[in-house]
Formats: sequence, structure tokens, C-alpha cells
Amino acid sequence: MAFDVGGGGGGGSTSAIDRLDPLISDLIDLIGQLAGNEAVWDLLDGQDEQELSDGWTREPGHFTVPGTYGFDTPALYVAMHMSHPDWDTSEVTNADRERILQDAITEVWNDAHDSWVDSAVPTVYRTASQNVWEPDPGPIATSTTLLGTLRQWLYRQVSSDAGWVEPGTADAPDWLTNLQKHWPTTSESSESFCAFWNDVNDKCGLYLHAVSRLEVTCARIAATISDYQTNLVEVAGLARDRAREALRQWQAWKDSSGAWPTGAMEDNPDKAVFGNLSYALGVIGLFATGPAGFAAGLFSVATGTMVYIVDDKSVVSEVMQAVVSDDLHDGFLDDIKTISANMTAVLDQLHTAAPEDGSSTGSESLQAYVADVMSSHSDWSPPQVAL
Amino acid sequence: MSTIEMKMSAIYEAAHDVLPGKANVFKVRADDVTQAIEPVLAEVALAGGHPIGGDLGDLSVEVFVHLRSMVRTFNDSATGLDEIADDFVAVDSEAEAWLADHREYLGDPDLPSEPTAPEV
Repeated sequence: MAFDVGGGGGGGSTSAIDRLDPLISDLIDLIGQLAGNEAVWDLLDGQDEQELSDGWTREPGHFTVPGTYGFDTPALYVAMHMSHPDWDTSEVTNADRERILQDAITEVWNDAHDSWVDSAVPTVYRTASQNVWEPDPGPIATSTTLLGTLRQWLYRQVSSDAGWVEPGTADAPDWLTNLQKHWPTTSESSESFCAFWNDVNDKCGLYLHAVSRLEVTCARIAATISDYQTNLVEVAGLARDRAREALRQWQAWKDSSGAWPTGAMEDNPDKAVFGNLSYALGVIGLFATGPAGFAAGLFSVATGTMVYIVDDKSVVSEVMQAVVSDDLHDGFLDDIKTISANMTAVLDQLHTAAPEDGSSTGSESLQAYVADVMSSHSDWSPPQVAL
Repeated sequence: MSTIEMKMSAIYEAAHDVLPGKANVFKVRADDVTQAIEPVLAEVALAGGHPIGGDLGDLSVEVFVHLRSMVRTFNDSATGLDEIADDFVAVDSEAEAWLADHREYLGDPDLPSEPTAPEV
């Protein structure tokens, strides 16, 4: 699960949409080519099914199906029989009729192909997957690193040698002891100031907990988005490859028994599976320092994220079972909707499920934790100082 | 060192050196909260505006507000102590003489501005 930090809005790395768009363009073109082939066969089937009047017959012809995966194929076309009364006088020869059919083949193929390529389908794909490709995990990863720095600073404030102690005690700085000793007699007592000062580390302990929750949650969000973007791009690539495979089967089929390509398809042994994530790998890829940097603190992101994996939601990509244009389109659209829904489900878990990761970031969900913190606002506020 | 000298030194050192320094450190850390959370919320909004962004924002604001409160308390304490000491200098010649020899404590303490609150 490689991940390019800062990949969203341009810059040096490639964003998810920059990786996805060319695949979608290729896929639409290939689906269009399949639709073109299908339209051609509708046309040729029409030739086969057309009732023949007296003096007409079917003749074998040779036709070219357009496209980058085009092919030549034999097919029957309706031709004039030499027994037809106009045989000797007709200005249109059977060769003309074969050529006219070829022109029709080219026209219906182009119409069908262009109906996909010039359609709003790419926009439909983009819209259906927008929640996945649009957020950039790079800035979230950068923020996570900053929160880690803040967390480490807060951690240092909690220790006794940070100096947030009563004046006159062993760890008290000299200036604090001196200040209390020489506290101005014209002001209130030094008591409230010293109480504030001595309380700073306790409050920083509370803030440390909160910042840890922010840090670990942000790390998990970044990893989630990154992994699902990778899955999205992979599924788009698989769909494109499947469309290519179907077109190649059209090419192979034209020389064979004549069985419809659908029947000739073999199961792809490499089913596209998505929905289950390699979080630990994702996190490793996300941060230059790797999980060890996090483990040095109060929790381990790599360990913690594992529990958030969606329960065994391995889904066989629908598009891998499709061979005709509409099915490929429907399958891919369903796939990307599933990816988007699964990513939302993981974010739901990060939001409302208890971490249960054994870390000190708490055993209650983020949602419940935040509610608790907000209801404890006054307890988290530093004491007032009266001078 | 006379008692007055020790008293003036203790108060002015706290008012001009220690407390502004602490205020500045906490301001930087409060600004870190803002700097960290705003990009996260912007990106989460793009992920379908998932509600987790709301709680991350609320939690960040909570931490920020308390760190800002620390900054304000350090600043206010520094200002209060400085004013009390200045008042004392105005009525005590020995204190006045001490301050004349410690011109770095003339004027108001150099205090940090308020940290910038996150826009959530």
C-alpha cells in the first residue's frame, strides 16, 4: 500500500484522481468498443433474421470490425440471387451490397462507441467515487506528525522535572521560590498563582490524552483514505484489463466455432478482492518515521489500527464477472460505490467504536470521549490567578 | 544583595523573562493545534463530510481553548506583576535605583499575541 504524501492538489506526487482518470478514460473507450462490437452483431443478426423474398439470398462476405481491438470476420449478407428478374439490369451489384453493409458496420460501431466516449459516464464514475478520491491523505499525515510533536511536548510537561511544582520543593526552579518569597505585598497572595503553576502539569496530562486521541485518529483516517484510494485505482485497473480481455476474446472468437463470447469466458483466477485493508502497511507507508515513531509514545498506531479492519468484507469485484459493455459499466459502478461505502464504514468505526487496542488513548469511542471532554470543560480549565 | 534588590529581581524576572517565555511556548503549542486540525477537517469534509470531522474539531477547540487560557494567564500574571513592581518603584527610591541599573526591565513585558483559534 504505497502512499504519496501530499498527493492531492498537485505538486510533486500523483493524486488519486490523477491516477484514476486515465484508467476511467481507457475503460470508457474499451466499453465503447465492446458496445460497438455488440451493435455490429445486432446488425449482422438482422441480416441473418431478415426474411428473404424470391430472388434474394444470403452470401458470405468478409467484413472489418473497427477499433484498436478490431478484427476481420466472415458474415452472411443479403444479396441478389442470379434468378432475380433484375439480375442483369440492376445497377447495384452484390459487391456494392457487401460494401454498403461494411459502411453500416463502421457507422453503427462508431455510433455505439462514441455514445460511451462522449457520454457523462466518466462524470458518473467520478461522482460515485468522489468521497474516496477527493480527500488528500497527505495533509492529514502532515497534521498527524505535528500532533505527535505536540503530544511529545505535553508528555514532557507532565514529568516532575518540567518544573510545574510547588515553590520550595526539590524540583522547583529558583525564580519560582524567589517569587513566592518576595511576592508583592500590595497584591493578592501568591497562593492562586502557585496553585495555577502547580496545576499546569495536571492539565497538560489531560490535554496529552486529548491530543493523543487526535493524533491516533488522524493517523487512522489518513491510512484509511490512502488504502481505499489504492483500492479504487486497483479496481479501475482491473476493470480496464477485464474490458481488454473481453475485446481480445471477441478477436479470438471470430475464428472459432462461433459461440457467443460470453460463453467462452473463463473465470479469472485472480478475483479482485477489496474492502479488507492492510492498515499496518498503510501506516508504514504514510509516515517517514514508521510506526516505531508512534510506538515510542503512549500508543502504537500500527497496533491500534488493526482492530478497525472491517469484518472480513472481502467482496469479489462485480466487474470481473462481466463481459458485455453494460455489465462492465454496471459492475464497475457497483464496485466503486461499494468501495466508497466501505470507506465510510471504516470512518464510522473510527468515530463510534471503542478502540479496544490496549493503548492508553482510552477505551471509549472518539464520539463518547469528546462528549465527556466537553462536559468536563471547567475541570479542564486552568485555575484563575488573582493578583 | 538587599531585600529590596532580591524582591525587585524576583518580580521583574518573572514578569519580563519567565512568564512571557512560558506564554510564548504555550501560544506556539496552541497554534500547533490550529495548524494541525484545519487541514484534517478540510480533507475529512471532502470524504463525504463524515461526522468524525465534527468531533475532531470539537476536541481540538477544547484543547486549544485551554492552552489559550494558559497563555492568557501567563500574560496577565506577567502584566500584573510588572505593574505592581512599577508602582513600587514609583514610591521607593531604593527600588527606583535598582531599576535604573536594570534597564532591561523598563517598560512593559514583551508578551506574545493570542494564538489563532481553529476555524471549525
